[in-house]
Amino acid sequence: MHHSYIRIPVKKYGKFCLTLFALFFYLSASSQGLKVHGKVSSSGNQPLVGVTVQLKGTTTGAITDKKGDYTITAAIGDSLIFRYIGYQPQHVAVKNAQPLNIQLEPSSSELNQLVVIGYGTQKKVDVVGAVSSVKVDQRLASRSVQNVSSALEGLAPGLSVTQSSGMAGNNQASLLIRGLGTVNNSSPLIVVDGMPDVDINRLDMNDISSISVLKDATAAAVYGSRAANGVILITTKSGKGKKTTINFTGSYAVEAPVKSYQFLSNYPRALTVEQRMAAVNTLPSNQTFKNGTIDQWMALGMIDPLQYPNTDWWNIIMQNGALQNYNLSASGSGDKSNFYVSIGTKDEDGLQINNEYKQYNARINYGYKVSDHMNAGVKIYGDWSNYRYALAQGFTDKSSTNTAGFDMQYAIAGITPYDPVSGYFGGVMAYNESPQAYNPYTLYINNLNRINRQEVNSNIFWDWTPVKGLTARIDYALNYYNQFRWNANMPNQSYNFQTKSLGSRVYVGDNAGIANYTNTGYKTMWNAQLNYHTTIAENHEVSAMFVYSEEYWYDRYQASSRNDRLYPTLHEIDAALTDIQSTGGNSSTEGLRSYIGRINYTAFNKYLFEGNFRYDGSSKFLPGSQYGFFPSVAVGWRFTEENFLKSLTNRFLSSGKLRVSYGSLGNNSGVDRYEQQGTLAADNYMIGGEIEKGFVNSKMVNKNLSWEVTTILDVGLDLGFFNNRLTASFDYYNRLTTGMLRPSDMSILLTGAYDAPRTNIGNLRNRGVEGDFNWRDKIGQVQYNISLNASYNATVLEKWNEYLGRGTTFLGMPYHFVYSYEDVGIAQTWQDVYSATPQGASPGDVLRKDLNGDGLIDGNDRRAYPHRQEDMPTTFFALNTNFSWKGIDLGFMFQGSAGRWGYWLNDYNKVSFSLQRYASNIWQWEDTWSGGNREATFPRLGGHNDQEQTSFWLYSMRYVRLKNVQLGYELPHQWIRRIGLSSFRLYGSAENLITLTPWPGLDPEIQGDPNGMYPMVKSYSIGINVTL
Amino acid sequence: MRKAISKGLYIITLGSLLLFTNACRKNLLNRQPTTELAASSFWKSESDAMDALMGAYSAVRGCFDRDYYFDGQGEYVRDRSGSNSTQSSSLIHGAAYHDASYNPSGYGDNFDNYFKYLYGAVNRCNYVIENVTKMLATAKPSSDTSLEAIIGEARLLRGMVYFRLISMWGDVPYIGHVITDNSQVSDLSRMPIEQVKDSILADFNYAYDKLPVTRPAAGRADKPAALSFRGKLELYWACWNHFGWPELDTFKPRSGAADSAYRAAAADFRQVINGYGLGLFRGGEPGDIDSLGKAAVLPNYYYLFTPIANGDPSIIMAFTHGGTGTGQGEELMRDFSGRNFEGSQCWISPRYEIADRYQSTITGDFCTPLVPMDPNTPGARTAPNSAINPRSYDHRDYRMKSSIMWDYEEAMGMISLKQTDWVPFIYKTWNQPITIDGKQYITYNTDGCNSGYVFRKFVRNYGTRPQRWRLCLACDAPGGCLPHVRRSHQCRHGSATRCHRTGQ
Repeated sequence: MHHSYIRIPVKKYGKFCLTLFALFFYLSASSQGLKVHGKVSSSGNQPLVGVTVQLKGTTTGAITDKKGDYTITAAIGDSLIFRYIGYQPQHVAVKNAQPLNIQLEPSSSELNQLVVIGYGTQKKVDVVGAVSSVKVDQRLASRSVQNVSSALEGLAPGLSVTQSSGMAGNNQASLLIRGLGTVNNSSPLIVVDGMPDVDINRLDMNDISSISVLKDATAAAVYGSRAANGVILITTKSGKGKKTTINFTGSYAVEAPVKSYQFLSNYPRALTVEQRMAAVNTLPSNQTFKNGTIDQWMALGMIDPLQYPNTDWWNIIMQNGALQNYNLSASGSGDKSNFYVSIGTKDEDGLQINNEYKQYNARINYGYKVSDHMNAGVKIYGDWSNYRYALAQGFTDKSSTNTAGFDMQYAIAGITPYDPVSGYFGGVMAYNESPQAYNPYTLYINNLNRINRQEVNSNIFWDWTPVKGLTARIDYALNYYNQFRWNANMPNQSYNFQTKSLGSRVYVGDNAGIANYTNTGYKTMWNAQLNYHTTIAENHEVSAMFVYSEEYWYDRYQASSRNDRLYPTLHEIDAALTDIQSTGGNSSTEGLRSYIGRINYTAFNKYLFEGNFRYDGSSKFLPGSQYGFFPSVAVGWRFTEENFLKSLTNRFLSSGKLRVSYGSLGNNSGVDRYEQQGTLAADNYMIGGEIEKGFVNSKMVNKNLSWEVTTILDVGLDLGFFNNRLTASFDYYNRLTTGMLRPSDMSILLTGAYDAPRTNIGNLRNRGVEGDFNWRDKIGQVQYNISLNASYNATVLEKWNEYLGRGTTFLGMPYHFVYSYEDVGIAQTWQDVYSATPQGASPGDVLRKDLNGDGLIDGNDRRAYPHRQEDMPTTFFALNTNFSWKGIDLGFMFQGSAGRWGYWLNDYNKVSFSLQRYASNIWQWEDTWSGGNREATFPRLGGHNDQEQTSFWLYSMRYVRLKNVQLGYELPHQWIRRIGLSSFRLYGSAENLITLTPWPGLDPEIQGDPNGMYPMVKSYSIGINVTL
Repeated sequence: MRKAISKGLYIITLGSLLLFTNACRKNLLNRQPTTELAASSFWKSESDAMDALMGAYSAVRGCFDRDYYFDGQGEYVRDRSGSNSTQSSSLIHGAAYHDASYNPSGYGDNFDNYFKYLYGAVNRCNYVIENVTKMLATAKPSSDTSLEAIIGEARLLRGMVYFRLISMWGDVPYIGHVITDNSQVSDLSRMPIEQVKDSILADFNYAYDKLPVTRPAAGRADKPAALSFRGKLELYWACWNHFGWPELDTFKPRSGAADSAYRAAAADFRQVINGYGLGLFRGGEPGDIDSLGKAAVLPNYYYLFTPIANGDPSIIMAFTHGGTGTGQGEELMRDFSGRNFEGSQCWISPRYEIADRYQSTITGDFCTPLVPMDPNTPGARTAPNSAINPRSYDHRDYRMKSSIMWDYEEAMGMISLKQTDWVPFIYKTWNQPITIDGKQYITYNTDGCNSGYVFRKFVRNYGTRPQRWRLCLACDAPGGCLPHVRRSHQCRHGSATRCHRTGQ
């Protein structure tokens, strides 16, 4: 027997296992038989290159050449199998010596797709972990979404995407996979082209090829100590297997708020609201604001807007937003190499004046076949951004050190924003108005922050396949960033246009200085990987992978500021005097060493087994507890391949797979880089007028601290019906996080000197179900696709080693459940007040229920709701539809969530507010309770305990949103061919068009700070996709 | 067969290659902090001991530098500082005083932060005392004096802290050594006050024994300081035993103990006054005073609470602060003055009850009580004895003008670290243009005053970049230096004040 290897050029590959599968083919030539030849083409009559043709039952095979032709030696009666990725395999019997031309049908089955998993790819049919995979198609990339994280909303079941602000440059969404996994950082790990820790929002959506969401232990275990909250893998495009094309996509969107704040712009009326509130306990003669002041303003406001302004602030500090996205790319491949290059830009003008974000980016992805056994490649991505904003949250800043933090509540209508004639910014003018009232315009003009940031992310790889089935690979990646932030506020002072004098409020003093902040750092990773794949006795496929990996982080920070800048237009640190200055700087590093392994075994194409582990060592922990081991196992059963079932199911069920996985994952984000090391901190003193260095010991290290571990059981079912026109996938998971890291309870005798060390404090369990349904079919010439995904998650705190007081964290309950007083509505009469438990109320106040009946209203009267959560919804759903007819395509996406509740209480909807300088709303004027307005929705002004967290203010935050509508038109080929284009698509798209919700606040999606004011963005865009 | 062997060889070769390239980055898992000192490399030299002592000073400073808030619990000062003027976790920004009740009602409630940071200071002191004591065992004999002085300072500080603890809580837990685990204190019970008092006395005795006669620099302690605090402790102990402490049911007053403690206190104070040649600020002279409304010339007592008095020997024990950029600034201006002074917030202000306590310089007796009037009432600013009639304040104790501002009193404003103009205080006429003697001014602006007065004390009357201020400690609080206890302005007898004021 003579054996020889035939080497086949790689045209299409995923990653290793499959590379090997396609790379080597075993051929045994037979002396007797005839030469069978022919052409393999696609259903569109395009020749298919690299199709494997196999003589059934043997290892004899051939590969189609550039023209799609093949030749193979076979005997009459033999059966040939034609296999090509993305197409359905075809069995054909050899009948005679005539050319055997074959047309392959594309596999309609989603299950045959390749899925990117950690350190490789897998065929979807072989996947036993819970992985949701999203292909980024033209439609998705064409949406005018502000960033990549927000674009993930509604795309994968179990992935919750929450955007909390529409602020340009600060509109990233927070991502959570399968609920809140821990009370520490519960964000998933983001891996871009194999490199963990990349900012997903700096990527260009047009560069992304696919996104995989790894949800269970089997899928995520290869990321071990950082995978407890799931992993999101992003793969960028390559030119592999494609003919050379040049693409341009461009879109222009106008942005408007989904909903925004409005204040009363009628100042006399706002002062009257103040009077009404003061009237609760103050005689008219003693009230702050006098009728004369109000009457005068009312009259003169009509003729003199400079001295008696009625400013509509939101009209002045808001603008129409605009979002422009452009990307030009070229890709292609030849015999030896493939490439994808692109340049892109994003330019967003926010809804707030002077809020702007611009980004420029460029990418080169290049692969080269060094020899028949070796490949090498490089990916380089660089971006550069300019970001300008006034306050951290746009209109507000929750940092307690920023005195302008929530001053928008003091933006009274009686201030002139700016007078272009005199050049003055207005201040308070009305008699007895608080001089501390706020002119937001001057802040949003004169106190701006700017951030310039540059990043370079690059990686190279080299692989070598010395023998069949065995591939070694080395990856090296380097990410670098540099960020410069500066502010140099412009001096200005409030002006009183009535008295023609400067007011006491100095918005920015004449000694205004300069502050410069630089953050810079890098992260490196190098991986060495071994893959082995073999088939034993035809029906037993075994593959194994082993990786050694090192990751290293380095970050440094330096800041300096000086007072007294030389001239207002200068902004670098040397342009200021040195008499008063301050500086700061530090750096930190972290290392991670990992051993990663995976074994796959598939028997008879129906029994699947997978085992994974990762052994991680982190510099965050002390020697002895540095290493953590995170294993997982999974089994799968493709039951539709069983003959005894096939006969029953094959009429409707085309594929079916049951998967079960179990394993453990870690989370090391709860520990700071040097937290476990005993160090002294500086705490200085002044001696003789000079700073004298001092050291204090503030650490009490918990030497027993160990990893937070999450174990996940996942049971999943993947089904394909009617030749996979309908696919469905269900998952149930039970995820238990043990030993969550929290600061320990420490005696008050120590907390004044020591930071309480973290300890492994408690357990949190998440259980949930997910479903994903996809229907794809054709009616006449209309192709359509409808997909629906939904998920439900229930979280429960199971163990807490330390004292838990009465509050929204308790055992047996969701973390941060709703714990609220119940109300019986607004008291209409004194009789209502007397009938209720005494609580200091008067008619017009919200009455609370005495739930425990002890005759007192106190904290014990709150009700705990086990199915209402304050932080996040329990249920998510999304419906995605897409229709195309001839060149026209139309898509709708609906998305929503339920289970989250919130109190609609913030600084701007108070019924008891400050007696001066409060920017009120029209409803505080017309819809608050009074003797003459008993039907009012809201309690009386200045009442008693009306802003407690009662069910009166508690609203469900469920919502349904028409997230995206897109209508596109592909120009007919005959039109565009003349100008040398191969395709031209024109489209219009709209985001966040309609929102239905009972929540009265700004937006039901917004999390965290209830006082943030930046609206969510609704946008309308037009764009083109052009291919050359 | 040959194939299998070669494949096996490849796996072994490649596998070992991968594993032996381990040393990509040396010490990958052994990362050292760059701005914090490893505890193991400390306590090697005398200067290490000094550095740790400075850390202890810093911790103790944070427990005594805003004692003026306590005055809000009496009738003389309105204090809205509580959670407003302080940050919850930054000691230099008043974390120890955060969220406590500084008003006459509420029985001095919510001092848990104060309790916490006092014990924080105890732990800081213990860290110095225990480790320097260990150093003494191996140190060169020539270092003994300075190391013992360091221990002396730390023990003086610890004594001060425990003294404050027993004054406020009676029996308290006593920690006398370095704690390494929460379990060592989680079951610690209170120690009877007398035992704690004896430990404090032992600390003061040791400090008195080992400290130098003259302090090495302003901001550190010397023998007179140790002696003053010992005297103060004895005086308090005498008062508690003499007058009783009914709220503290574990305490049994003994008149014999009172008697001997009074004597010991008197002896110590006499020694402080006479034994070290310490003089009074500006010789105890009252100085000059400007006419009503004007503030170009202010009495000496005003300057005692400005940086001019820094390092003056009449200040027996002081904690020092730094200016802009040192990270160790105080917030006296912010607390004591209005918006015209760098946007200050006026968290505390005097009330008219204190104004009544300043005697006439003509009769030497108290004046006719002031009548609080609403400025909207016609004639309120000219009515006799009206609290808003400037004439009511003519010929009063110089310390009045030094300490508080009433209607039409001026101070020099400051914005952007520069002098602005005189700012007249006119109650409830905030931030308005006004013409006085033909010159236009903008009035004082504050949203923090409802009593008709603001403080002048601690507020600089000139606008230049901040200088370093020092807080006079032995007199406890500015209120402690106010005249209602009828004593001369030299703070040195201030120790008696606290005892008097706490009413025992």
